[in-house]
Amino acid sequence: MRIIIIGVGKVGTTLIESFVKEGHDIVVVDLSETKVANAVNKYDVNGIIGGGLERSVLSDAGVESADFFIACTSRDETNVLCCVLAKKLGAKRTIARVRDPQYFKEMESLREYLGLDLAFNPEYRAAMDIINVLDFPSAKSVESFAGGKALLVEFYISAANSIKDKPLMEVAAQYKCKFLFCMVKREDKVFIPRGDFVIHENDSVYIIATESELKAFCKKLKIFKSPVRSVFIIGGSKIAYYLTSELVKNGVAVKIIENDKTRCKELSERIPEATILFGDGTDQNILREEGLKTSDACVTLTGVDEENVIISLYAKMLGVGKVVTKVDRPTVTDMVKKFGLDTVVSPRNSIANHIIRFVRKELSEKSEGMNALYKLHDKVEAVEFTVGGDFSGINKKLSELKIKKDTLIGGIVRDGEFILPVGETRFLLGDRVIVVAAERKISALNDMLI
Amino acid sequence: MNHRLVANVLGKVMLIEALLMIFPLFVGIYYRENTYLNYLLPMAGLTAAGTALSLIKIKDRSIYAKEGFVIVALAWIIMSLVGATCFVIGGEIPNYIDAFFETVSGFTTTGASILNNVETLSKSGMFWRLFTHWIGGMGVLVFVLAVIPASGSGAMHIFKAESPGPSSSKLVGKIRNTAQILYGIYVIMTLIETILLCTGGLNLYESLLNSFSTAGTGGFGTHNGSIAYYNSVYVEMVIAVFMFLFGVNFNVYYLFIIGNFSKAFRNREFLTYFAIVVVSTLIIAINILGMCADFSAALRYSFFQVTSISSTTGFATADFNTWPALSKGILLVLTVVGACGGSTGGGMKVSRVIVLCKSGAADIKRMINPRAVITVKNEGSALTSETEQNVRSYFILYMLFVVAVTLLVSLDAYSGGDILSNFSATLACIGNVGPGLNLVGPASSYAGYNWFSKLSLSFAMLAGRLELFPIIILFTPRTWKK
Repeated sequence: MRIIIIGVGKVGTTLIESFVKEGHDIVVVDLSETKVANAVNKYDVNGIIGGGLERSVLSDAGVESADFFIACTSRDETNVLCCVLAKKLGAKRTIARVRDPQYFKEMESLREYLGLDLAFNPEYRAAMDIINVLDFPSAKSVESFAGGKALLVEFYISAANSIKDKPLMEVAAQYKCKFLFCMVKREDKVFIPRGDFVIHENDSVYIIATESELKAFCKKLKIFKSPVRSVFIIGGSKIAYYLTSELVKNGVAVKIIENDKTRCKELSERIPEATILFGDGTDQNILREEGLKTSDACVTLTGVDEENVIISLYAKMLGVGKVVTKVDRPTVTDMVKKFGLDTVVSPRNSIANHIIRFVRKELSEKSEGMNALYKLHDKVEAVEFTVGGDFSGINKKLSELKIKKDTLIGGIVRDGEFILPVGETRFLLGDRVIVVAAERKISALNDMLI
Repeated sequence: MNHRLVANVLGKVMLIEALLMIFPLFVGIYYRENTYLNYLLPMAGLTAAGTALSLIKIKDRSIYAKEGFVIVALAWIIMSLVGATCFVIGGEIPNYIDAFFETVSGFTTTGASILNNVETLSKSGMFWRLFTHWIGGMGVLVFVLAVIPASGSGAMHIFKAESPGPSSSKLVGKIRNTAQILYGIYVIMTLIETILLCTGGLNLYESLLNSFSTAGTGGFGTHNGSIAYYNSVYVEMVIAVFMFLFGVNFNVYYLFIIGNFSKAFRNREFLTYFAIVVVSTLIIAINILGMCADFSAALRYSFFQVTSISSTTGFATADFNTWPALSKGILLVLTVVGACGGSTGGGMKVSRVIVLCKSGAADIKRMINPRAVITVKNEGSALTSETEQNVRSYFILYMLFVVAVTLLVSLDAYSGGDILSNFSATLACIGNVGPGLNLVGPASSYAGYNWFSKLSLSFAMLAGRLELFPIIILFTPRTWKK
């Protein structure tokens, strides 16, 4: 696929990195010579120095034969205009980053008119990711499938956890599990486990199941935390705005602490239901005085990774039940997990996932419908498909199908009901199937068969 | 320094060299020559060492600029060291230093020879000697990038270190495809030339070998009299035109292929190169008119010699040592300027000379109007001060190199006080041209120099082909510090 990326910022770089791994042909365009040079030296891409609104630059980049055109400069207006121009010059699909809340709200109605195929908003995406985790605080991370009928949840196995050092078969029998362990992450390695796999301390396990099933399982393991009713947010960024407006709808009490007075005013005008505090979020006295300790959850969203990490560690020390840390630099993410901060959200990664999902979906349009895609790890993906007429395993039993190595059917949702796949389970038309696969890309259900 | 990765890539280069030696091996078998050991022994050594090195497990796949330079410099040195053994084993060039000089001259596409009588070489030996031109023309690491899938991140550093020219840009998004396109253009142009030479009455063997020599802009000939041996206007013109064509930036051909003619013809470097060739040809033709039968004969010799020197090939149809000073002077200037960046030719590169002239002119304007804001433009976009700086420092280093090597070669008593021979020999080696003036003129060879001069000149050829930095960086202690 030929992909043109305008703007080599944080999001642009993350996209380049992911697309290069997927094997696409990429051209990057930026006004800054150093940024282009860095990208070209580091990744196998072509670079052009220039503005995304210059016709000659775009034609040099090969816009007329581009399959995807992604604009992610720092300015929304430029991004949208670039895309309009690119479409006019022949780009097949255009994607623009629109992060201003006002613009983003209008995008749904304007999108079609402007010829945009996708308008994405990293801050909004990150807020949605945080909402998922806050809804199910027992887990490190949560992704939803089939419109929320099935959840893919990551748990951290602490020293006190009773399923450690046991083979999975035994665990399943003991707790009467109606789900599968899809993946286990141990330090840098990942495993698609079989029944004899033994879980160790410090592992992260991924499970696909219904929400009620997961809750019951957590209760049995005594790691259940009830849904968050009050949230303390540090830093009144765009993510904080999206997150708060979502949370207050569900009646969650939200406090935001922000050290910029005008921003505080703005937030209080837009979200009157939330408590907006003017003050320095890194000041421990203020945090204690405002009741950080008694909050169910603490979310750190300042613009500085280091501050977020320190405040999160402090919140953890105070005993806040759920701490979510936003980290921008990808290298920091791995380090931070070693500090014992369990839920780390990276807006860059989640938006890259979102766009890769879109690109892959567009590419597999003609075959079975792909509904969702999550990258669990560099090499492992969880993908949801709807069974279509061209799936060669239709109406067959799972045990009759020859499935590739390191590939697993995590669950099936039929008529809104979650089904645990066993050897006798058949694939029917319209079923939603969740596949977990390592070391390969799956764009259609048939890809998982030998 | 990522030693494991460097060793691994070098292992692959060795395997590829072993693979390339199959060709002269088969030529020897075809002509029933008893030369197979000349190639089988080095091949065995290369395969053993190459396999051992490529089995090294790599933990970290990333290549940075430093690794890129070191890989390229070492690869070229190793290839020359091993390639030389092919001549020594069979006794075709008994002295190893001589064989090394000849092989370096081959791979770097210089075409400077220590052989006084090339016609004594076996068919397979001659094939290998000219085949090195063809391999070295486009570069062996570019070949590695073209055939080995999924080179790790930073492979661009290798590509940049090996490709000639101030800025090496990719033709298409992926480095592997770029390398494939470049080699595709290279192979097709070589084949076309071979066919044209065959039509001119040369046999397949000679057509192919002369095409190898032209394609790499090398300059080794299959006969003592170089191209003059054939005494055919047709052959001379085909070779002259192809020497010119191989001196053009390959990006221009890619633009032709994708149908972007207007952009191809707007390429400033190409136009300048063309103008240099036309103007030099005319001046020399007028200058040597008195020595030739008529103007068309003068034009014939001058056109061939100008394309030969400006593309840094080094073929000869006339002994330009006997030409007037003006003609010799122009040829010496062409030796320094060289061909276009991104071609198979050597020298300083036309694009660098353009930038040097423009930035020099801008400096003069700034002296006249100290407050004027002057933007230097090149190929349609503003030249950054960084590029300007790079080109200037390249020029200075180039000249320092020329001075240093000239002095080293002057330690040799051979030239007997003829500094022009030593100076032109150095320029011809570092510019990868081949023939110089006087003692190293087109009618003579480098055989008379002593071993130290030959090593210094080999070093100059490698430095010139790889554009100085890889060789300098390889020998800088700082590179190897932890």
